[in-house]
Amino acid sequence: MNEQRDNRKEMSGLLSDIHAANEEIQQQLRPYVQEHTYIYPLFQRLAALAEELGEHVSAILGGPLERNEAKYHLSVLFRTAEAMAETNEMLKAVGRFHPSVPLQAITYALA
Amino acid sequence: MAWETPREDMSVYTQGEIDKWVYSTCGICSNGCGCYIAVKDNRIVGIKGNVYYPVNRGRLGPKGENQWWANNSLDRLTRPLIRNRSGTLVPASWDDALSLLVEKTKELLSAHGPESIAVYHSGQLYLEEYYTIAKITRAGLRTHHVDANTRLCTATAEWSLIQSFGADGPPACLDDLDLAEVIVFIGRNSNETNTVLWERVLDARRKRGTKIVEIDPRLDISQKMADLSLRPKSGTNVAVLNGLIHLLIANGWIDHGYIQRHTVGYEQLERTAARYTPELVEQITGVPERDLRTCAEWIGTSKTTVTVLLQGVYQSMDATAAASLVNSMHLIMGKIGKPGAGPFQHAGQPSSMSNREVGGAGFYPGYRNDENPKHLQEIADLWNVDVETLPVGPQTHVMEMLRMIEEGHIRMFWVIATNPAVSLPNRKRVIELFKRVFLVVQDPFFNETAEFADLVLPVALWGEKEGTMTNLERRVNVLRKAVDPPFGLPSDLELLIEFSRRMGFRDRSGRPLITYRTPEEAFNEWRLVSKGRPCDMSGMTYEKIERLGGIQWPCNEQYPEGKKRLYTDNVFPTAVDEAESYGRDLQTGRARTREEFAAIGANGRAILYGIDWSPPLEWPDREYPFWLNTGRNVFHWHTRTKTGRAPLLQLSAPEGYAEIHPDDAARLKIQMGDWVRVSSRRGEVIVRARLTDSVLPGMVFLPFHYGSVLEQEAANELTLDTWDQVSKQPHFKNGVCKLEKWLGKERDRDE
Repeated sequence: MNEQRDNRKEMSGLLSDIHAANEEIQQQLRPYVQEHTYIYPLFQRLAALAEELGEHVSAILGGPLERNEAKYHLSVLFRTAEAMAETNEMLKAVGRFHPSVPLQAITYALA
Repeated sequence: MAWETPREDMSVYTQGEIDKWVYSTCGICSNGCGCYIAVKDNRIVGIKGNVYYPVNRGRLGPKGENQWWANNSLDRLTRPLIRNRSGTLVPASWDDALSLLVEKTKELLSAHGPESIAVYHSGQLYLEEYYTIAKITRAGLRTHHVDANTRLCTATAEWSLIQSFGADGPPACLDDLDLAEVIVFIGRNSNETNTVLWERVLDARRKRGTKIVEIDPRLDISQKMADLSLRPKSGTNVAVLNGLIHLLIANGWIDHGYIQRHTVGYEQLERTAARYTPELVEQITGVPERDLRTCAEWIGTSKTTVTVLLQGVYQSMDATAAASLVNSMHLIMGKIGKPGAGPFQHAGQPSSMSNREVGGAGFYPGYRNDENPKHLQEIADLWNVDVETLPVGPQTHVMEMLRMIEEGHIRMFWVIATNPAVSLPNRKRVIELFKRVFLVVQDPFFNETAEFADLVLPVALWGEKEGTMTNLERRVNVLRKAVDPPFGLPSDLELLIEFSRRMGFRDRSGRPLITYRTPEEAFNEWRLVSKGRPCDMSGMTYEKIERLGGIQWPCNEQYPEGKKRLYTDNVFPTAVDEAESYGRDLQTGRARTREEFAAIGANGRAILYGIDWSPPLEWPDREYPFWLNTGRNVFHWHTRTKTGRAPLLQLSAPEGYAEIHPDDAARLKIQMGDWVRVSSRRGEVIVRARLTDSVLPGMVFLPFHYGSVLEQEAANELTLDTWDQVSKQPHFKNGVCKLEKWLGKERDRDE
């Protein structure tokens, strides 16, 4: 029982870290998305993914969920983080701003 | 039907009688022409087309006719090479070479786990070899890091078919080109890349008045011969296709009954396409409104249309989105699964299809979805391994492998039958990364990648081994062994089997993981693995394939002689437990979950997508004012490993060049044949200028075939290393560059 509680606590801590890192990404991306909407679709893509990630982290942090629901949100979370990491790689390749540091915090937390 | 008249194309160089003609398949492009190999004194001395083979009726392209020269090339590798302590590659015995390979593999597995090893192979091997790679990597090494150069040529075709229909497999076939009223080519340059197919199309036009539409920024010969030519700006395919769909819907050239019965997602498609008025499309793409309208009218009012795509779509921005829109365009007209109608998404290489079928890259064998526990269990049972040991998770595509090398996760990179030091984008980075890993190169020749290898394993070439290949229309054909390999070289299959044996890979009963010894035995195992899946080959045997002149899958009890075209019953493999993948979001590339896929509710119906155009990731600016485009020419195949050794082909196109529009050349005072420097944010090349109106003003085209380590001529010094978010195919077509006249080389030569 105690072990389960500890796991939940650890999980909640990790999700809070992910949430904070994701907020930072969204914050950092905002001026780029606004200024370069037309030219740089990668910013839009990353921002859309960050928003999606935020929704699912919030859903898990937000309240008690059925096992299936939690599993669903978690599996979206992993997939979204994967797509964010790839988009970030492409931003690096085109020599644009890329929020590597907070993104790494997310991928490490999910690893 | 086309090809009523056979024509026996032949290229033979010998004196006296030919000893024998051996049944085979051309190993160059995805058309998969039937041929016979000429043998004299246990040497390959020529080739002729198979006049009975339905794909080509005896015809061969220039590359196909000349491919056999490579077999006799004097610079064939004869022995393995090992890099010694002083950094030199030195000849070694087979035992030493394989011991080193096994020792290194075991050491890495033990110290860093399966994720430290990656295998990157080809679209030019045989089905049996791909199947063995799939089995050894997944069930032996237990790594998910297995990909192939098919990622560079055919991944988008595969993914667009999965997104729309639930599983891979081109719905149309070559016969449809003979029957269609209208054939639309998008980004294809058929005249140079697939000459036999192009000849067939011209034959159909002569006989039936088929209308040919070409959509491509390059005004190549096929474009010049077309009845209608659309030249969109680089990276605007999605806008063109949305514009066509807009007009088809607006003019009522769609089949509402078909849409309702056999598709989902129409509302989203209609809503998105509604925004793409011809005026907006002209603004984005540069395609005149009237041409777009004519194109839509021809497509919409014809009874039958085939749309054929290739790298102009697959290697461009939003590739999978564009290719899926082509599928959607056919679906809303109900022009699929019928004679003369269908989207023809296909591969570029001779056996890319085989690779996809057997799980050599990406998915599990038989188009099985590794996210589906049922599919995974099937494979585990077929291979007699524990399901928990099979690797799952995101597929590691080659661009991701490079990142993993950069971060130190991948430490051994095993390259088989491909030449990534020339063919991958941003080559400077690629070469630097190759220096960081234990690099194994398995190839008949000392190619550019081998320059950086730690271990080189020479192998047999086409004509020197047996196996099968699947062509662009799902037709499987046998390639018989014509001669013994020189110097006692093993085939790729033999080498892989020996590696597995030395590694001691076993199934859960303790038997060797690989029990077959010959290609035919491997094929027979694969037949069982394919049973019940879309690419079912359970009804095929080598003897039957040869007797029938190739067989198109599925071939089973229901279709004992194969099936010409897919989806004739309008039922698509989109049921959750049938689909090859749950798909990805086309805009962001985010993988869908099982629940999300189920929620689409396709369940046997095809899936339509509405997707907006996004601009390319690089855009001409002051510093780099030209679009950069790369592609093939008629004389060479890929990095010239084979065609560069055929005298006629090499003499015809011996060195790299840049195609430049005469207006741009005049402005920059560049004349035909001048040396020019083309540079991008990644690197630069110095090549001869070719002035031609085949490129639009403001665009530079370079063939990607050239790239010796000494010459500064590799197009991939310049290309952008970003990729399609869904298929992970690199954006070879959408970079930017700078162009200037270069005097250096001229001066050097004058001196």
